[in-house]
Amino acid sequence: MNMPLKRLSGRFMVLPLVILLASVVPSGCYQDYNLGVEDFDAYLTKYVEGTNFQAYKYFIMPDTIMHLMDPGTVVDPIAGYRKYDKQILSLTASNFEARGYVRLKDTLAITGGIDPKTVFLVLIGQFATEHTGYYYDYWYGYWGGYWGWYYPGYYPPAYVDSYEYSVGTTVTEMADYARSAGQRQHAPVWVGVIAGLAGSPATVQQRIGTAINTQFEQSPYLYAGQ
Amino acid sequence: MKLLKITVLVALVAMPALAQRKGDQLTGLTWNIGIPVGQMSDFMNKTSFGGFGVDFRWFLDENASLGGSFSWNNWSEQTNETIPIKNGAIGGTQIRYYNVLPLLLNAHYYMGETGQDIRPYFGLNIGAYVVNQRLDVGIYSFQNDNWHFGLAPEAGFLWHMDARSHIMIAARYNYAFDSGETLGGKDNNSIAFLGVNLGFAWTTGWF
Repeated sequence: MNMPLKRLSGRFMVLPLVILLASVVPSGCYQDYNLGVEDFDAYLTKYVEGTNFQAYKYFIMPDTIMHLMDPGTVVDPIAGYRKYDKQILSLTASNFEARGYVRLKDTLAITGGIDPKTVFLVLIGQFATEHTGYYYDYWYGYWGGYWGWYYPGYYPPAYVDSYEYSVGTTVTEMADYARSAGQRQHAPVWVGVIAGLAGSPATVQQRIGTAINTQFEQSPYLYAGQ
Repeated sequence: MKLLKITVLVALVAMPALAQRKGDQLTGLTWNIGIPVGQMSDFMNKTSFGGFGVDFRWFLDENASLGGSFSWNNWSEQTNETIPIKNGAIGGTQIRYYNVLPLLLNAHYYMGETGQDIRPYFGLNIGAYVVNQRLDVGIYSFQNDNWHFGLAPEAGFLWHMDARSHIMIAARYNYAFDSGETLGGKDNNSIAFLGVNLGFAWTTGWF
């Protein structure tokens, strides 16, 4: 046949290139990111529009973290996390201090000539929520096939396994002291929420540190005026 | 036997001349690479190597075709970039996704003549872009599905491997006009990406 060599060789290039194409496309579709427990921590920060954070100079912060529970709950489900309270409280306070705010010992200090409008409160609360997740049983195809053969026409419902997980949430609220006292209700100006998977003791301390610092890093507007 | 040889020889020589005449069809399968640009790259700053496309074209003559295409591009990216939201921010490890399915009609013009080894072409695609945008952060997942009207100017070439099969290489600038709102609540939800499509095309009769 009088076919140019290039065209002839081109014909034989098709197969390996098709195989290459077929192998590259599916492998590029999904990627396993191998996420660890710490990768499920999320940090949300929000402020009330119009707040002048430089108008504040002082803050008051109780030495207690409130555990928020449904009414009627007898046993505190997150009592075991009390051992991290000190770390959370001191790291939060030191972050505010690093931004130029001065911590007052208690409200009595305000009567000593400090303008209440320059003071804010820091309140920290925690709660946990239980969740259920589902995943398909990889063996379903095998057993489903078996039962389908055993009892023709009958197909069992898709079988899934479930797993339980607990999400711990820490809420840090910054409230305007003067307005809160005046209306006898918190007047929040900034809130930071940390949510993550509970139950990984080996990494809790490190995750707490990262989470609290990140809340401040993503709130660059939080600093005291001169 | 001699007659058979002559017949085969004539057929092989004539095949290039038969390609891309009125009524001929071209089917293309491509591996699609997608590079986000503009606003889309704010959310997804990664090139996608996971995509494919199918092209069908009907030739009006040896230089023009009308057709349609279906393709899919998938992007996913792990990042710790802080997400600005109104009066605040969200941080933490995130997996961001885009799934884009362009469903397009197209018109192409081919330079040169039938039988040339390389036929450069350019064209315009127009149609719908089905866009799925998703953000997983912490245990939370947010997603947004929208249909967009879009355009994709295209330039490429067909490299003849034999009379009926070709390597197909093309670049498409995909622009999906604003539709719905972004995951972050922004009004302008247009997206754009540069597609580089590599694959094969077969004209009628190759199989």
